[in-house]
Amino acid sequence: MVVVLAGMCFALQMTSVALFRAAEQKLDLQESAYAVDSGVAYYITQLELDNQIFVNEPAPHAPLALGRGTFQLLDAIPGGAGEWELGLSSNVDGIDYRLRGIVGYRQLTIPQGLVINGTGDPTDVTLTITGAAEVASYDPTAGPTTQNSDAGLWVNGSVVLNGTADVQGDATATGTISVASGSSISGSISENGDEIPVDSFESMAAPIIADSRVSNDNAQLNAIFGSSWHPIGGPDNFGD
Amino acid sequence: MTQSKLTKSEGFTLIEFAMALTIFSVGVLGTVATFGSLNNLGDQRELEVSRSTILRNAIATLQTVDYADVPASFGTGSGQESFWCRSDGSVVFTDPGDAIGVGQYILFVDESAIPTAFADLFLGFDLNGNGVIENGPVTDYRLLPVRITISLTEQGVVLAKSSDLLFRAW
Repeated sequence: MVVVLAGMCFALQMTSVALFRAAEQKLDLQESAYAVDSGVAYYITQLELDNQIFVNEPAPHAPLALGRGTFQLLDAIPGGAGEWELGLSSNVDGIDYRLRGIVGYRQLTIPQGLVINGTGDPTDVTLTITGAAEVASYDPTAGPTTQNSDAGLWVNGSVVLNGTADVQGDATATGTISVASGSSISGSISENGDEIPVDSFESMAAPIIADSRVSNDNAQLNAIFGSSWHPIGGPDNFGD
Repeated sequence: MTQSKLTKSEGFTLIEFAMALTIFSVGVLGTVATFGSLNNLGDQRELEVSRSTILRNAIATLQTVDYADVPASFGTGSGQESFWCRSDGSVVFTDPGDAIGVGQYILFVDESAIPTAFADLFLGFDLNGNGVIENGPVTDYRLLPVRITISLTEQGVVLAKSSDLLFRAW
């Protein structure tokens, strides 16, 4: 009887330990996922501080400690326009988590002021400034409350100023610039000008996202779910 | 008339009875101890599962805070804030009266006083990316080292663990 009791106790103990370990491993997996997320945040910040970091310090990097675990940059594949595809891993109490992500820095040159890019049609009103809105330049050495008249609006499209909206500076548009009686533009106004060049940006993530899309057979889904199946509209519907 | 006689091999001696009683007692005590241990492990497991949910909610709560307000929202200048954990896994900032545990956020906002647990940041890290490692708290950080400590109690069983994370202000 003692042997039977001991056997039963041992079996129960082992089952309980196994369940406990499973719960612990689930928690470690969660912590590992947070660690790899932290790694992404870390490397985005590093890239922001030094946009050549993955050139000057090629992957793989040594694992970095974070709390109970580590994270590590495994590889960094360069893409276009300052983007990098990063492979990261993390480990918490022996539980690994891996993540691939695309990070990048963007350097845009803003020519002489605020650029608003529209549809390309000069007759479309791309920018409307209403109420008592004030657009002005700011001299950091003079403090935040001082207004200067070096603001510049560069608009691909048309501009409308209503109310008492005021622009302290110049305004240039490929369409028309309409200024209501209470509004004003202190500098020069140039209408119907040439299109203002704006950097286009095609992320290396775009083809990956496109490849990851799969078509769904809406007819088949409709047959299964009946009236409860409502295919979403627009470009997010990859069905037939 | 036949008279039965006990031979040496029949019946129990006192020593045999004592040994049997001892073995039986060990078995019973082992069984009791096993059930106690099983109960304890079960409570530990429940606490681990609860902590998993609470940690997820604690992170989600922190992510809803405007980063510019973090030092103000999470203790003036100290970068610390306590919270209470409820049985449904939610996190609240006032004692609900039926909390199953307590927790704390610690935000390391001093660029030159980040603990060793945070990767290579402990040597000093430019959290706000302004090119200077300030000797004091910053409020415009882009990277925020955070420690979330959660302490739960279930029928005398205590589970207290902390998680170190790096948050990114977007």
